[in-house]
Order: sequence, then structure tokens, then C-alpha cells
Amino acid sequence: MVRSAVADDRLLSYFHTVAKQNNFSVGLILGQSVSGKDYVIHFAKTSHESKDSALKGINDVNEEWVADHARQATRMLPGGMHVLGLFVVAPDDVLSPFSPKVKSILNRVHKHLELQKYLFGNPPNSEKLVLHYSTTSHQFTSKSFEVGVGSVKPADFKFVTSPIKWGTIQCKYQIDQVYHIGENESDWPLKKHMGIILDRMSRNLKSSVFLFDGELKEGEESIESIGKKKIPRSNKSSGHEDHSKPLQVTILQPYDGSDQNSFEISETGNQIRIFGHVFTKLWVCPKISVGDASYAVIQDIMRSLSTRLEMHWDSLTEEEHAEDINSVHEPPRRVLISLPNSSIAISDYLFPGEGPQDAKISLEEMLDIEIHDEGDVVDVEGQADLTEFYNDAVESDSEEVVTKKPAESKSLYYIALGVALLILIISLVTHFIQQK
Amino acid sequence: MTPSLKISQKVVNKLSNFSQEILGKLYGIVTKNTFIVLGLQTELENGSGNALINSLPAEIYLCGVFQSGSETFNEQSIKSSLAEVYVTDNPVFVHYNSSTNKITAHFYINGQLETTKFAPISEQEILSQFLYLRLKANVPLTCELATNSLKDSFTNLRKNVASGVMSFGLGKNIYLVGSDSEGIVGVTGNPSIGELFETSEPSEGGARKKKVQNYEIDVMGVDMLKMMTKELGVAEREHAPLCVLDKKQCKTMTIMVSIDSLSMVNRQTKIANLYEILVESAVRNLRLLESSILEKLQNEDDTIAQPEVFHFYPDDCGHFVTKIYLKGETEDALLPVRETLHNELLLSGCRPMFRRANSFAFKTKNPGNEPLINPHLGLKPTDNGGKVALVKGKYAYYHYCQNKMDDNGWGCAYRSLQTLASWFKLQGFTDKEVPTFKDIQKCLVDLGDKPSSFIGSKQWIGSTEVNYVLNTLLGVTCKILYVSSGEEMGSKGPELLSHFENHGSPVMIGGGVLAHTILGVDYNSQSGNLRFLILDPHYTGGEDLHTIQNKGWCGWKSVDFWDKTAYYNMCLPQVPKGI
Repeated sequence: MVRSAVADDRLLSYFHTVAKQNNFSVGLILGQSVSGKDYVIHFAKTSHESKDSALKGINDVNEEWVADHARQATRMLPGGMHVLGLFVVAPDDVLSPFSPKVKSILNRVHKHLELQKYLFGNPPNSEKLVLHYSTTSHQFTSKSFEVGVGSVKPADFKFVTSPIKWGTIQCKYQIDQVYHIGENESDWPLKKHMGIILDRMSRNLKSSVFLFDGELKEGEESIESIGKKKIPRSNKSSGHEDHSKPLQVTILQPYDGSDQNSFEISETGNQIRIFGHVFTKLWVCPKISVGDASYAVIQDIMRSLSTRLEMHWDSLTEEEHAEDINSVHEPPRRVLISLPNSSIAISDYLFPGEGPQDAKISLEEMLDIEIHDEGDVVDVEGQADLTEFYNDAVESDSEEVVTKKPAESKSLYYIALGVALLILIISLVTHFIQQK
Repeated sequence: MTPSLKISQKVVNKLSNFSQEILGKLYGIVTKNTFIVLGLQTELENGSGNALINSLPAEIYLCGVFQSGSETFNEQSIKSSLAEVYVTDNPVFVHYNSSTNKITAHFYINGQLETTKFAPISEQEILSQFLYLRLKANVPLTCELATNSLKDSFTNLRKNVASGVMSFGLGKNIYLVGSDSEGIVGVTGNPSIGELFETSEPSEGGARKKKVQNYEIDVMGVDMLKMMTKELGVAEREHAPLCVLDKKQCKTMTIMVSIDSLSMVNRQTKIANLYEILVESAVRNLRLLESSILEKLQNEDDTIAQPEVFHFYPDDCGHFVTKIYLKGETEDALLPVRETLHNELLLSGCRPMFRRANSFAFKTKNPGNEPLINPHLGLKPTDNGGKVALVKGKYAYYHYCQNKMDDNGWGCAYRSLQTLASWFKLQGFTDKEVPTFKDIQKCLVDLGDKPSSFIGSKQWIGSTEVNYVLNTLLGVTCKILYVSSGEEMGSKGPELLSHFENHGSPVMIGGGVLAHTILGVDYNSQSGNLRFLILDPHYTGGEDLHTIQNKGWCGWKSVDFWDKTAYYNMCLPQVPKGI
């Protein structure tokens, strides 16, 4: 079977723009792969360091750059979406014969995407799509390359006029768990502990039961079937004829812990508490099976969590990593940004104190998107009010040693107020005395 | 309208057997139209008091009080005790007058005790109406090892379980995500649990139809799941995940709390109504788990260990009793706990009922090739018309060619010995595993009874050796009965009858010829006729009850069964009195 891929024809103009800017460019094809068919949502050019010396040809491409671009871009994609392959805008055909450089770029990309655990960087198949746009003939040609095997197969790439249909799935995944740090593990860096917590979450998610709009379906059924067999309830208009209404996912996590006989008494009460919620919104091809859709939800949650933690670790100084005191770590939060002329949104992560402006830079760099309105950046998760949290902690546990800054500042405030009052009285008194 | 009152036959039996002045609580299931008293608890100074309810399956509640003795009852004090009953406005009061040997029952209606009729209800009838749900879940918990912290953690856990975020998985792919019919996922409509049970275990349902009168203790497994997602919408104080690192020096307990709770529900109950019941059962179980740890903590006993849940179904109770024992606590150390239970529940102090080994054997999915338990059950009784006394409690049927070992022709006494040993293990008298052939041979060599070449050989053993081994390995002494010919076996009626009545352990018989196990006798003292219930270790087939019963591998035999020309020795294991 020939591998086939489709993209909305509104994406065509991107190639004209890219071709105008440079005679030669490479970039990423982003989208979803469902039962052998690729649905493209976006093309993003890989930017290269030196603007003045533009790339002359395929052999100038820095593999590392493309691979890193692929990883950064994947982090921004919702679950179920992947880097599907590479596009090349060039005057000469690089696909016949298939350029060995393209092969090595794709191999490099594939390997690099494996690096971050829980990024789910590579789709289940190891075939990468390559699209070539000729700046001379303005024609597209495409091929499929299987990483590992190294085989090149024909591929059928089409720009379609009718927009690709997407179903949406969403949920809010609640996290609240306490992780006890064992006596002999207390000198481990936080990063190592968090790795274990992520493993545990991933295991739990994999054993969970997924309900879509409250329905339990066999894994092979498509998500289109959801809501169809239901007898319409009198007070509710039936159904999901309208795919724009998102399917709500309910995740039921079994309490079947395998280490059921674990019992431990330790001399230390060191613990990590992780709490908050992950906002998940996915766009899936309506033909996708319930099993694959569930897996996409897992991917989204784990991809998002591991990404924000990676970003958080990168932002810490060496001392902060080995911190041995009580501390609150606030990894960046997820914001959603709609792709231009599309209902699909991608994610970015903002650190506390960062605003929509900060998302703009990474979007331009990674996805070649310009946002004009700051309202396009939707803060879906919300930032924790740490002062509130500190107060809470103080209330709930008096022995807590976390900073009591808010309380201190409050007392300072009263002292200042008192001093001011005193000065006022003194000045009044002196005033009266002087008058006498 | 007054509901119809039914009292479990076992409760009636217990009341009728005790002539002392006793007061106590009655437990049962109360529905709109029927009121079934299932169990009782006497008031003890150091008893479990109100906490006993947590040891009973959900849906059983305190439903009344009872008094037994020769005197009339004090109405005022009865009324005030009845005020503790919350499950109904019309609790029941049962009085047993030991001088007239009569039981009277009363409903408390509008401030008055009104005498009412009642009907005893048999265990079979109870089992035909109810089945059990067994909820199992492993919930992680970390808390400071201090009384208050522990209490808080368990309170939070219970609140969490009852907060509506839990879902329950029944059978295959059916989930209850809420407490109404909207919360049923995976099945259309709102079937009853009885229907669901029949469809989920078709083989058993099919067998049931053939012999409707025989209901077993039906148990359906239930899982607990936590809803990890929330409805979308703006809620206050929501935020992206935070990690809080909190280091402090304190003694901490990290435990996987293994909830294992039972509910007793009417087969007609609609599954949507099970949600609250399951929550209640989990909450009761958590209370038990908490108190088991708390007790140790408050006594400053540092032997705190993993609590383990055991469900007991003593024959004389006819209902489940759930207890938690901490891992590693010895049966000896738990003796006071068992004593309290026996006294409270008016159970005989002669044999163990609440040792770990006595815990109820729930059917597992793959029974495999384990030896059958009590294959004599369901046999047709004899027509001898005498007094019948059988083995008491459970034993396992050991016979030729089990565990892939070909002992055909020489292993029969070994197998009989194994059956005897299994009885001691299953009654909870010993923690030791049933000895293997090698264990038995090694034991005899160690004793100096046999040369070392005996180990691994195919040499027979007889009653004397069985006696030695039981004594050495299990500390059991045996009484030896000797007969010079098979005919003489017919004269041993009174002795065997007395053995089964007082000890109730299986008897090994060997001697000049083959070895067998005697499981009981039917002795007609008028005619002098004696029948033996024989378990034959020479069976070489698989664990097929049908064959075993129909081909006579387990069955009633007359005196002719014994070889007239051979002598016999019987090994009667003496059973220690105690719990």
C-alpha cells in the first residue's frame, strides 16, 4: 500500500512564502498518523543560525539543528500528533535519487526524539514522510523513508480543498500524590525522584480505564461510534453529529497496586507532594480507534508533564538542583495557542511571571507562527497562588518550616502603621504645644 | 405495617444452647418488608462493643437486642438499649427464657414492645436470597507514625472513598461511576446483581439450575478505581502541577492499605444501588485497618507490621466475620483476641475458628489441580438408621498419583497420613504445610525408625509410622485401636462414634493389607450394624468429584469391606481442646 498523506490546501501558500525567502530550506511536517494515513496540520521551517549566509543545498543542513527542532516542536504538540517527516524546498530534486543526506537527517531526528522519556516523539510506525517542493517547477514530490530499515517507498501527498475533519477530546487530569523519600534516597537529586514519580504515573495511566462522554467502548471501535447508539434522552438533544463538541474523557485509575505487601517504617518523613492539574485537549481523526485515542490522552499528559519538568530542570542552577531544604517547585504551566486558520491548538509553557509575550518568541522560532493578538494565548491551567499555599501549609501543619514571608510582611505592615500613627500623634501634640 | 421477622436458625441454636443470663446485640439486614436477624453479640466487658459492626459485611446493621436467662426482662432497660439502633425506627427485641425454653420476639413500635411472630430461616434460604460482594483495592498511604497523624490520614482516606470520586468495577467491564442509574457504564439498563452474577459465571449458573436446592456462598469480586479527571469548568484555586519538597525528621509509615471488604446484598438489588453499599464496606474495612495499627501504636508496641485482612465464616455463625491480623503476629499472641470473639459470638471454645488457617477459602479463578476439599459432601446418606458422626471441619483428599508422582501400589498410607495432616492444618491447629513423601521419610529416618536408605525408596509405611510422624511433625498424639480380623471391625462402633463426636479428626487405618481413611461412622446401637464412611487413597484419577463419589472412592461401606483374614491398626488422632 502506498503511504498517503493529506494537508489542507491553505497550507500551500506557506511553501510559496518559504520559497520566496530562500532558495533552499528544510523544515518539519507535523500531524497525525492514523492507520497508515498521515494528516498534516502544520509545516514549520527549521531556522538556521546565520541569516546572511543562507543554505545553499541539502548538504549544508545541520542535522543536530533539525533534530533539536523536531524535539522542541514535538514538545508543543498535543498527544497523538508527531513530527511526521521532513520537507525540503529546493530547486533540485532531492528525492530521486533519494539524497543520503536526507536519510541521515531523518535517522538523526528519529534518534533524538527517542531521548526524552515520555515525549512519545516517534509515532508507532518508523516511516518518515519526505516532501519536496521544487522552486523551479513549483511541483511537489514525496517519498516515504523507513528509519532503521533504510528503505525508500513511494508516497502519495495531496493538498485537499475540503478541510480535514477533526474530533476533539479533552479532560482535566488531577494529580495529588505524596511520594515518600526513603531513608537511603534522601540525598538523591529531586530530578531522580521525579523520574520515579513519572514512571509511576505512566504505569497508572496505562492500566486505567478510559470513558468517552461516559461511555465504555471496545478498543477497536472508532470514536465516531461514541454517542451514536445511545437512545436520545428526552431532555438532551442527542449526539455528536456535531464533531466540534469535544468528547469528555473520564479516566478511572484502578487501585490494584502490584506491590501490595509494601510496608515500611522509616526514620525520616521526607516527601514530595505533587498536585495540580494537567489540561488536555486533543485533535484526532474521527476514524481513530478508542484504544488509540486513549493512548493519545496518555501521551498528552505524559508529554506535557515531562516537558515542563525538563524545562524546569533546565532553568535551575546547580545549587537549586541539589537543594536540601524545603522548597516549592513551580514548573511552567501549559498555555494553548491556535494554529493560524485552524481549530487545532498547540501548547507552550510559561514560567511563573511570564506572559503571552514570552510565548510569542518560541512560537516564531519553533513553528514559524506569528501571533498578533495576545488573547490568542489561552491560559488553561492557571498559576498557583503561592502565598495562599504557604498560608495553607502554615495553617495545616504548624511544624512546617517553609517560608512564612506573607506573615512577616503583614507584621511589618502593622509595625509601619503603628510608627506612622505614633508620628502623627507626636506631631499633633507638638503642634498643640507650639500653639500654646 | 409490621415487617415479617426472620431469625437465622444459627442464632436460634446459639440462644437455645446457653442458659446463662446474657444480654447482647442483634445484627441483621432490614428491608422494607422483611427483617432478618443474622447474628448476635453478647455484651462483654472487654469485648469489641460497637466496633464489631466493622467486622461484619456491609448491609448488616445493628438491628436490635436480645436477652437470655431464666428471668423476665426489664422493659425500661431494653428500651434504652434499643435507642442505639439507627437502621430502623422499629428495632427488634428477642428474649429467650431458659426455664421454659421459649424464644419470644418483639418489635419496638410507638414506644411499646409488641410481641410478634417470627420464623427461623435456614442457612440455605439465606444463601438463596443473598450473595456477597468482595471489594479489593490497594491504596497507598504515607503518614507520620503518630496517633493523631495516623487518625487524620485514615479519616482523609475514608472521606476520599466516600467523596464520590471512586468507581467500582463489577465483573467484566461494568463500572459504577456514581450512585444512581446514570452512573452505570458498560451494561444497558439497571440489572440486578443476581442477574449479573449468573451471567458473569455461566458455568456455575448452569450447574445451579440442575440442583436448585443447593446454594453456595456466592462471592462476586469488585475493584475500586479512582476518577482522575474532573469536569471541565472554572474552579477556584486550580493550578498547574506544583512539586513541594518537604523534608522533616519524623518516624514515617508508608503502607499499601489493602482494602478487602465484604458486602452482603440481596440478589434482587439493582446494581445502581450497590454504590453506596460498596462505599460503606470500604469504610468499615478502613476503620478495622486503622484500629489494628492504632492499637499497637497506643500500646507503644513497636512490632507494627503490615495489616492483613482475613474473612472467617464459622459454621456456627452462618455469616462472615472479618478480622485483621498484623503480619508476623503469632497465633499464640492472638489467643486473647480469639477468646473474646468466641465468647462474644457464643461459639464453642473447643476448636479454632479464627486462626488464619480457618479463614474462608474464596474460589480462585484457576483452581488447578489442588486436592479436593471434603469430597464426601453431597454423598447419599446410608440407610443404616443409626447415629451418624462424621469428620468435623475440612480436610483435603490425598490419593495416588497426585503432584505427578507415581506411588501406585505403595503410597496409600503416605496419602492417608497427608489427609490427616491436612485436617490439622485446615482447622488451624498447625501452621505447618502438609508433609511431602520426602518429609515423611526423612522424619522416620531422623527418628531412627528407618535406615537412611529409606529416603527416596518405595517402601510402605503403616499405622505405627503414621503415629510417629504425626507426633513428631505436628505434635499430635494418636490413640491406636487394634483388631485381629476385618470381621472384628464391626465391633468398634461405639469407640469410633465417640472419636468422631469428640475429636472429629479423620482416622487412618492400615495393617496387614491396604491403608484407608475413615471419615465417619453410622452406628445403629439397636441392630449393632455399623457403616464406615471411607476415603480411598488408591484412586489414581484426576480431581473429579463426580467419579470419586460415583465409583465409590469416597463412600459408605459395610463391614464386608474389610478383609476377614487380615489384621488392622487404626490411628485415631487426638485433638487438643482450644482455639
